[in-house]
Amino acid sequence: MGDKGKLVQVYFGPQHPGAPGNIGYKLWLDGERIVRAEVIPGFLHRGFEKMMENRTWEMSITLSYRFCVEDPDPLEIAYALAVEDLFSAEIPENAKYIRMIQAEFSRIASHMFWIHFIGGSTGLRTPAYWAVTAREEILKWFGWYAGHRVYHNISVPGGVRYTLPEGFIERTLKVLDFVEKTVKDVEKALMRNSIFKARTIGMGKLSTKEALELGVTGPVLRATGMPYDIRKARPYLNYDKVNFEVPTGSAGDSYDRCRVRFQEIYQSIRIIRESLSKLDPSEPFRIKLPIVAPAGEGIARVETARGEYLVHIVSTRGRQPYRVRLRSTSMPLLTTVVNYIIENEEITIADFPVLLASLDPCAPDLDR
Amino acid sequence: MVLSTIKNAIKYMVKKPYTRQVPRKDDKYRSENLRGAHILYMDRCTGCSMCQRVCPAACIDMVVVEGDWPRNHRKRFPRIDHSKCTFCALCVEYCPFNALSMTDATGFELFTTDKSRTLKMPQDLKPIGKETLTKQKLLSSYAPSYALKKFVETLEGSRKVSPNG
Amino acid sequence: MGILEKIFKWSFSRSLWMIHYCSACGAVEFPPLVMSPVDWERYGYMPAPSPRQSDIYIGMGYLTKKTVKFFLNMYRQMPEPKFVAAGCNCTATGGLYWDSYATYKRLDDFVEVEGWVPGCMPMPDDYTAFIEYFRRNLKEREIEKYVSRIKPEAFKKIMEWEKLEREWLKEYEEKMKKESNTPIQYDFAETYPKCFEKDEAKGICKTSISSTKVRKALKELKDKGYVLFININTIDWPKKGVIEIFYIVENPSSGEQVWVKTFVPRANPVIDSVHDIYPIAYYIEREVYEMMGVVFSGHPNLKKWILEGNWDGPPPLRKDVDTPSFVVKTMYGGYRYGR
Repeated sequence: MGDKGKLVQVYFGPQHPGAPGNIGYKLWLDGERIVRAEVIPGFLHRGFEKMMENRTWEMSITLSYRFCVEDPDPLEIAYALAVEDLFSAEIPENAKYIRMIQAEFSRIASHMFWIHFIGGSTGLRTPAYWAVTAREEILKWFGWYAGHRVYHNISVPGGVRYTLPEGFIERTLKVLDFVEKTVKDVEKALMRNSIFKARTIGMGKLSTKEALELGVTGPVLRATGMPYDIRKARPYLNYDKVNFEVPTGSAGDSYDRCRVRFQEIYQSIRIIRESLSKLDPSEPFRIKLPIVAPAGEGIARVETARGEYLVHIVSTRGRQPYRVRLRSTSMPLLTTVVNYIIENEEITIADFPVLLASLDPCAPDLDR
Repeated sequence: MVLSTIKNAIKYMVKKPYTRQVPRKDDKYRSENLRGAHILYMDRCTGCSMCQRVCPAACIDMVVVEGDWPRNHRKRFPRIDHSKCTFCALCVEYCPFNALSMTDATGFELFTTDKSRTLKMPQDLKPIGKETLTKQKLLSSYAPSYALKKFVETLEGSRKVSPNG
Repeated sequence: MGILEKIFKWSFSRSLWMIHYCSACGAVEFPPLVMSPVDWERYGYMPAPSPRQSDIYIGMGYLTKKTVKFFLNMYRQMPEPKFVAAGCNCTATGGLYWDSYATYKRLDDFVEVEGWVPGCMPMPDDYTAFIEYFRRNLKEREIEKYVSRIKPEAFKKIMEWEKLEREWLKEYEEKMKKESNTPIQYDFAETYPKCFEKDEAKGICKTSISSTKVRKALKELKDKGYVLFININTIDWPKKGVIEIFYIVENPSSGEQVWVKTFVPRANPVIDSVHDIYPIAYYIEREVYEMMGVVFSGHPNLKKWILEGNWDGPPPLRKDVDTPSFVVKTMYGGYRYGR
């Protein structure tokens, strides 16, 4: 261009195949290099916190998971846990294990969806297609068990809604086998691919200290080498009664984040296998909660596929919550992390979709 | 190595295709628990408007249907808007008289070019698919004693039906 | 003309390109629809990256006000023939978000719609019913009917609705001015650095401090290892005349959280910004500002962010702002069970 100091402004998204959903960026470009980025949110805002105040405890469940469509189940579970915390209710063991199976299946499905996302961004559509088939098997499993493919409504305050259908364990194991086999194929095809390596190794580096400073949790933090996971640090449900590891990376770059996510899928499969063996169909799955809640607060901390999620419910005795506050797990990923990486590294506009995909943000989660 | 991708791709090429050829060759996806369009058993409904109160989408309103309804003297029945419903099955779960249940008919059957057709009056809430989700299924997750008690109550409620009301 | 028209219709019905705009949650069922399990590329459908190459727009779920404005702008750039189809329930009636202040409720308020796929959300298989119908129907119709037009009153409607919101904002501001003289009835005891409530299992310690000392407390906590800033929670208490604020910070080596509780008066909610201590607070404070109306002094860019283009009314999370009835009044004509 020649003109020093003159920057070109470009709008990236929301209508852009590389954008992580319906969210936009305003980019300032110096030649090809991005020097500044500003997120444009709001395309997906519905005002969940207000809508939940207008609905009773059981009705809010249908809202609780709708702001991260890729990974709805941990959100649903978190809301149910927070309401149970408010009622000081202890739910049956079966419900806890079913919820763990649900949450881990959702985590796998979310990571599968992410493979499709990063595969598209790096031009490797073939592994992406395989990942979508594996995700489809999980969605079909949900459709079979819970009655819907994407929004499940399994966990409600008091437990889970469904008992075990016939052949539950066999079918779940079959799905797991299929998923495991496909994930191994996808991992081989994706992680050993030289194009993929060239576009991710060394890109978007974060150190542990910086990641914490920016407010990051989840796989992005774990890829920097910090094994921080709410499931281990403050176990909820029965995560302290099953064996699993928290996979970590070392370099904290895009490639490490991908590796951590693949490892997480294997760990999730392990958790589901172990939880399945602990189910007891003769025991109940749900308890009845009273209609009117006591005054007080309910809090739940849950690990979603994108990091720590927190629900805070305030009740002033009644059938409806007085106030619900939800944490956005993707907000740091879309704002501070992107800004930090752009400031410290040379990110061109061609790399930007890959960078976003490697962070795996969930755009509606920022807006809510 | 790009080769590993190619090797895997060739392996997948000789596999049976995963594609379901909906709707020409294969049927659409269904399952035994699918939450789809509602069925209303009008002889069981008492018009208590519980379903209206628990509906998070405000898609149920009570309307008057003329006729001889021994259990429902005010003749009020739920009208369900299938273009507003989220198919969460809360109405099925909270119906005290077991009058609502769900079928496996979803958007495939409900597709329309005129959206006023998805506003279903009580007498239109007939099974357009296989009945999948009933209240009994949802109650079975409670402890057996609770579920049984609740279900017997429900049945007794429907037994009270008599021509004289 | 006959044979040419036939060829045109045949080829057009077999190469419909959909605009690649994942506008809402229904888009999550599109990868299975486009890719292997259902594979609608068999029918010649394909997501096109630019509006100028596409023939069809599919509404995938709720229509936030910002998205609708964006969509109308984009739709005008599409060349004719062009169509709009609507998937999901939110495009038809508002769906589950009937009381949401940030969404428009019906897509056919703005543009003619070809077909509706109900469901929440519709499964990929459900869209095939629409595709089948559309392919057959295209061949039969007159060539002039090859376009779904933007309704003439679409932009006028948007302007009227936005005007109502701004009027409400004015009313609300005047009401807050009147209230600014009423005294605060609120008991508050400072316990920092001790906890006034502790939850061992979740590792949560709640402590309270007056709003002027929040910055100091958070700095101290950060030095103690509470480096992760989780959230700012706000609770509005109109009867007490205050807004409670919780700053939540977390120690990632032990998983412990400290909730620093403070309060500001409702009529004049000003508190110091902490964005220079915790960078992520910059964005959370912006969100709290627009949703709850709390002003963070020292914040360099305190303006609307998520609500920009979505809501011009008073801060929606305030308890005395009754958005559901406002929405029912303006969007549904006062009948909440309608569409």
